[in-house]
Amino acid sequence: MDKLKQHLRAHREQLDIDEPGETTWLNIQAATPVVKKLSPVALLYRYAAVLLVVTGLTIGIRLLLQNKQPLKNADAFAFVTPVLSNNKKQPHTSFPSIAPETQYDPAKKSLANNKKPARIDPYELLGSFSNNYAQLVKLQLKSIRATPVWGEEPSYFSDFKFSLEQMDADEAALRKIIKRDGLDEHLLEQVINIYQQKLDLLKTLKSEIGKVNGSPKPANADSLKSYFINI
Amino acid sequence: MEPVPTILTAVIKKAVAGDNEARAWLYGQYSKAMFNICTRMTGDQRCAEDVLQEAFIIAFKELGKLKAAENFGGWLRRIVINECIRYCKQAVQWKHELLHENHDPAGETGDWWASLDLETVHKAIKQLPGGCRQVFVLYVLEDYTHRDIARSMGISESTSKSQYQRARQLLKQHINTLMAIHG
Repeated sequence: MDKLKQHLRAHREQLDIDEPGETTWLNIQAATPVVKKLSPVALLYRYAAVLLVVTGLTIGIRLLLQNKQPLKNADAFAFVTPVLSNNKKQPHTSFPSIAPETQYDPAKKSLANNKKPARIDPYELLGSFSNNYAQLVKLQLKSIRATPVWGEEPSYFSDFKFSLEQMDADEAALRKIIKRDGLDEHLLEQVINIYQQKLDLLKTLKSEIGKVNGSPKPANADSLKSYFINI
Repeated sequence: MEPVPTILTAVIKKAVAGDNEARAWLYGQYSKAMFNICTRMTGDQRCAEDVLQEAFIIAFKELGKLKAAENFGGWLRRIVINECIRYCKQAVQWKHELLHENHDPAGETGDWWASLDLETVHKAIKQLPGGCRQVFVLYVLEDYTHRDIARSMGISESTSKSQYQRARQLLKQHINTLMAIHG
């Protein structure tokens, strides 16, 4: 090895004088995707939402395949409704059935059995799972509205209300687009996403109410300060 | 759970998972050294930034393929050098009229470089003409052999050797000029 090489290799680190500009890191950041960290609670909500979607879709498809025979009760959805206890003010939560009761008509049934299996119409599928989702959202809302809150001011929960209103507006806009341009896979996915987000939001809100109410109640706070969230 | 023997291993694990803070830490630790390789190879600040940027993007995308975290520095250096070579192969026009000069470093009188401050040397290296500059950097600082240089730059081994001698001569001339001006 020649002496110049030896000398420069021995002092290589001292040759590092230049500094890259700040924009270099910004450009690198922009070009490399960042994975957001999810808390275990958020992950749990996500899994729960996926489970709900799968259940809803399964039921919807089964309904269509069974010649649109409606469900006779809401037992399938009972698991999503939390049991609210330890509160006298809380009304009894009885859940309406998803579809109206229908009387058994053997004539109709025999007619139906003679028909070929109905082809799945995407609009019917959309209608079916929209109904199921909407029902779930309603149940969650009903449960939240019936839960007294005492730990925080109503304004504490205003962000939730605002987000839900925005999601409602998004859903309405989406339905307008579907009405105007027709339904495609992308729009269907967007509708599902909105319902998922709504359910996630409501579950988070319920959890937040639980946390707020669970914190120690001040000794001087009387029960009249409890209120119900108007969402 | 797998043990985490070093900070570097832990950071690399996080960076592989897409953690931005971990990537920023790695960038902070290694960017300066890597950037100086780029400036010496390209001879230009802006081009060096582009090459550095590209190299880090590749590194973060391929980080999952790194087998041992302790090898990260060397692995990143190879990516940076490869990117520099890729850039230089497009940018350098080899001057064939100067390729066959021969010069024996053993015949040089005195260690003319020994008393120089390294900042001057760094600046002088950056001012060498394209071609001989890359050969000089790869041979002297990155410890490539002339065969490696020839293969990676797409030139002959003798071209690599002659370009190295040319770089030495030019470096000496340039530094002498600087010394004459600034004392």
